[in-house]
Amino acid sequence: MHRHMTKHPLLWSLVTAFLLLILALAAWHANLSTSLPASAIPAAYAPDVKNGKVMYDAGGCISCHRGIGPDMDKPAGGRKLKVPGDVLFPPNITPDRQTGIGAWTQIAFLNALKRGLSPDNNHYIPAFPYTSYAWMKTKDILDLFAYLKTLPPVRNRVEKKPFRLGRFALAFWKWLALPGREFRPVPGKSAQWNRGAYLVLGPGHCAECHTPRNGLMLLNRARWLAGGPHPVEKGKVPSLRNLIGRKRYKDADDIFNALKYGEALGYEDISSGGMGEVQENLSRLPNADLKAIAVYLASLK
Amino acid sequence: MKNFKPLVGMVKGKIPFDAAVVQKNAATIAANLEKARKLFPEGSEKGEKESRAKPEIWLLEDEFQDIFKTAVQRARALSQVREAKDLAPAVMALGKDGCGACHKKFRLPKK
Repeated sequence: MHRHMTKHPLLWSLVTAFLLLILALAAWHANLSTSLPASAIPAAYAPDVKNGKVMYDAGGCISCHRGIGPDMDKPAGGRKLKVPGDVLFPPNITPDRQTGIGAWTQIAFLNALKRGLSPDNNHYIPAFPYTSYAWMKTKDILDLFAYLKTLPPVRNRVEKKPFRLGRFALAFWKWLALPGREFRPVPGKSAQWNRGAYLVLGPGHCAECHTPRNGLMLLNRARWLAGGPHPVEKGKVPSLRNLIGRKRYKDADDIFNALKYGEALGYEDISSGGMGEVQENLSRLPNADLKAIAVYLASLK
Repeated sequence: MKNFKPLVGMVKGKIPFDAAVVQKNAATIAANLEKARKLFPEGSEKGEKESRAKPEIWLLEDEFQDIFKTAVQRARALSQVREAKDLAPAVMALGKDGCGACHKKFRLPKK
């Protein structure tokens, strides 16, 4: 084989290049043609800002989009964020018209979260976890948008940074990574369990860190939420499977308390590796939603 | 943790409030924090297989030490608690501003 290949090195590289081109074109086509049309917004849609705030806290938007100095508690962006192999500066998502999302339309926001596409039809770097948000209900995303619009606008221009691997590679990856549909409740499971599963899978985007990835950086679905190497720090992201059986927590109530109070009540495994911030965001959820998350997690075997 | 756990148990209502235990355990925590504060000289994480100390401890040493000072203050305040109704806020202030604040910023994930 080796000798054969060296006999025709040009031929082999041409074949490889041709195959890659076909794949890239397929990906380009698949993704650019799937930006959602304005008709994706239901005609009867009425914003629910309170639900938008729930999505904001479940998603932990503030953790990455946090502003600097006096804008610490607003999602004004610009703070350094370590991601695997790179450093990013997440954008300003306050409703400032020039530097934030004040001039965005609902459909632009929906395409950002469901398709990973910017208003000028560019691919977002997947550090912005649209591969999880794509599972979200359209209404929840639009409510989140409505909530963001109620925040005080902050003028803060954050420079865009081009993605190192380039547009084609990213388009191809998205083609593989994006789920093709919204979350559907699992029949036979309780409404509470399904609510928890939805919050974990979609807005909560827990799998982005708690599910290990394969060589293509795709989530390994066979090892769903089973933990793996930490994406940016030394050490591991713990498994969320069999938390009760492994005696990490006593029951769903114990998991609820951990998420609600964190280390304030001595749950010391929930502070490091970025989880401390996640816990703080989750603690602001309505108790019923946090309980649903706990019930879903406690059910994982 | 050994001293903190019973106090959390009282907050959760799993064990009855006991001012003497609160006083004793909180005082022990304060004393242990004072000792622990000195256990992080630069380079001490090397050779320690299980160390979860982040290098930020030495880059932001003032901030690191300030959390310890806050933690000691919170532990002392906790040791003054005499009534059940004052326990929860004092326990949670120590856990959040002391233990949690430091572990959030200066501790690596488990290996």
